[in-house]
Amino acid sequence: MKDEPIGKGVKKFTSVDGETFDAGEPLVLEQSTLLGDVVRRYSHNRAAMAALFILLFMIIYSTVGPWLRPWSFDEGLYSNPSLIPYQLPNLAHWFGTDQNGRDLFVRLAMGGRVSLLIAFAATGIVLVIGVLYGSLAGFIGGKTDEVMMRFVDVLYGLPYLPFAIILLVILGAGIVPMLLALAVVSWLTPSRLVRGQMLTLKQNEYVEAARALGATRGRIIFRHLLPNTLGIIVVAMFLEVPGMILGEATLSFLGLGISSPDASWGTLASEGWKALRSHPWMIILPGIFIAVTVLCFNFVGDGFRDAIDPRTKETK
Amino acid sequence: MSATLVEELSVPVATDYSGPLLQVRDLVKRFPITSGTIIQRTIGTVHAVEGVTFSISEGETLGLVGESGCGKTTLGRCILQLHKPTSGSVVFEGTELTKLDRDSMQRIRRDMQIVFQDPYASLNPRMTVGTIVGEALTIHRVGSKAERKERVRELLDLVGLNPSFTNRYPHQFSGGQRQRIGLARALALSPKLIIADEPVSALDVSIQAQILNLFDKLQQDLGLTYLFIAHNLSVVKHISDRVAVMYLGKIMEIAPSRELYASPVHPYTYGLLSAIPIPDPSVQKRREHVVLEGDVPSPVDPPSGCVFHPRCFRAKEICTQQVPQMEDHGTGHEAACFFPLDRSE
Repeated sequence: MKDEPIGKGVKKFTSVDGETFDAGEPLVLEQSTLLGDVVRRYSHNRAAMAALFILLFMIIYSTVGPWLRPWSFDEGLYSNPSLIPYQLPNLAHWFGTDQNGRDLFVRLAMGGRVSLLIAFAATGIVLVIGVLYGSLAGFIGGKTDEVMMRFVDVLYGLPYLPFAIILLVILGAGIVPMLLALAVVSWLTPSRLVRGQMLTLKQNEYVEAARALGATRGRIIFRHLLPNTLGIIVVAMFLEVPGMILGEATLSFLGLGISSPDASWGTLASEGWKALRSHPWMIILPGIFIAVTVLCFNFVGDGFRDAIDPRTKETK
Repeated sequence: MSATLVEELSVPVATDYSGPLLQVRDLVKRFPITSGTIIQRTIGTVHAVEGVTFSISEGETLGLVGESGCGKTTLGRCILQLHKPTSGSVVFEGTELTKLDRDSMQRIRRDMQIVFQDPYASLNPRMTVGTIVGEALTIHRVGSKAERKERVRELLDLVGLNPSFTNRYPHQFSGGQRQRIGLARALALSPKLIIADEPVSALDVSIQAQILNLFDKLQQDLGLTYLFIAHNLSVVKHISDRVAVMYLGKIMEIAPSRELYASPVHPYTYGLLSAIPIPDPSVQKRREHVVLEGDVPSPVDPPSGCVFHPRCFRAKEICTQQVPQMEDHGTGHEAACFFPLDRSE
């Protein structure tokens, strides 16, 4: 974009004393948009860029992976006797086969679909609940805030795993109960984050300015305050997803989540665990997928946090 | 700037009203200090504003000065009903504001606006200049989208900014330019009264002059009325028609600007004025100095009687026991003191 001095074209005006004043201090600034700034700053962060590409690769692999090979994810030696169990990775089966002769390349891709979908959906639910709850508590403040936050404290006190296990036992295994189990205990952290931000942000004079203009509470929350918590929400989102992936893996590993023949990375790890001594790649592969994805989400989250905050804007 | 659009934007008012634009009577604002979590107890009260009375006529500028924490900002917020006053009345163009419901207050908001002290905190960093300046128009549903855009450009031009800046963000501007944006936002609905809450105290001295001149120019062009808050007597000297001096939530002295600077009658005003350095060493050396000793007492526990007595060089027994009332000292000059400087001790 072309540089253009800010003071250009500004009229001079004369004060009561007859002095002439230049209307603005001339400054040369590059015109930049917020989104443009974020993208530019993010792209300068190599680790975050690499992590983003690996994540994209994971998503593409999970999406198209099952169509790349001739077998379906639940096709084992009982339905197709030509499949041999426990094969090492080879030209036909790129990631080998499991105890039933099912192709692991296809199963890992299917597992990725399930794991990532659950993680994204749970994160979405958690953020909506957490952000609304936190922003209401923070904005209203006072006694309402006290009561709402003590409720959060109580929920924090609940041990996550037993709570999720009980929930899954009552509701039965499946994707929806799994989402619920993950969401019920995970909205607490984002709600605390957003509430804390709200408490500081609402002190800003621009909130008072909006009130003086006659803005409603809803307008102040959604137009003035929430956009300013965007950075923290995006970071919370990217940091929440790995927790969800791990949570899903843990529950599935314990046999409470997705069960065979359906696959998730946790289920696959759980199956691999049983053959750990003789066929270690069966647990190593899903293990790597989980670890790499979680790591990449953390890197991307950090990258966005740094990129989204205009105060870190570099001076050239 | 087309006068017609401004006229279109302004709200029709009752033409038979002829009193002062703003009348504040016995305004009190106290903030409770609470402790405890869910069960809260009040453990104290901040006496931010304690019975303030004054009025401003249309087209006039009233300067309001006082040290930090004396309640001048709270007073400004109470007038705008951003804080609900504890008691007292605020009458704007004949309408009592303290008892208005939300909808009626909404209409009044078009006529009274505020400019803030901190040019950084007062502009939302996530909004473009166009959105910030045009927000009042959006909230009050004035004009079509294109008309609003045009009005925003007009406003930026009015405050001396390039009208093509609408798509930029506040962080791309300097402090002085940001203050102009804040002023443009306040002017969007063509208000009658602007409460300027220390609009220049966060700026460099050279920029202060520019902004003060801009306030002056806008007052002449648009016929604005100002309540100009500052903590510095020299800042309000040129811009104010009358000046009120505030101390611990109370007005100590109020007088026409020239009069107050030439012959202050309240010892506090005298102390403040003698603290202003005169840029002439010989005069500076010769003149009589009164140094205000000590700090401003806490507004949680204000002194008895005249709140200024612990720091006053003329204080007597009576000052610790009785509260002095506002007394006339001729031609609109009023002060609350038992031993004013125009009377011998």
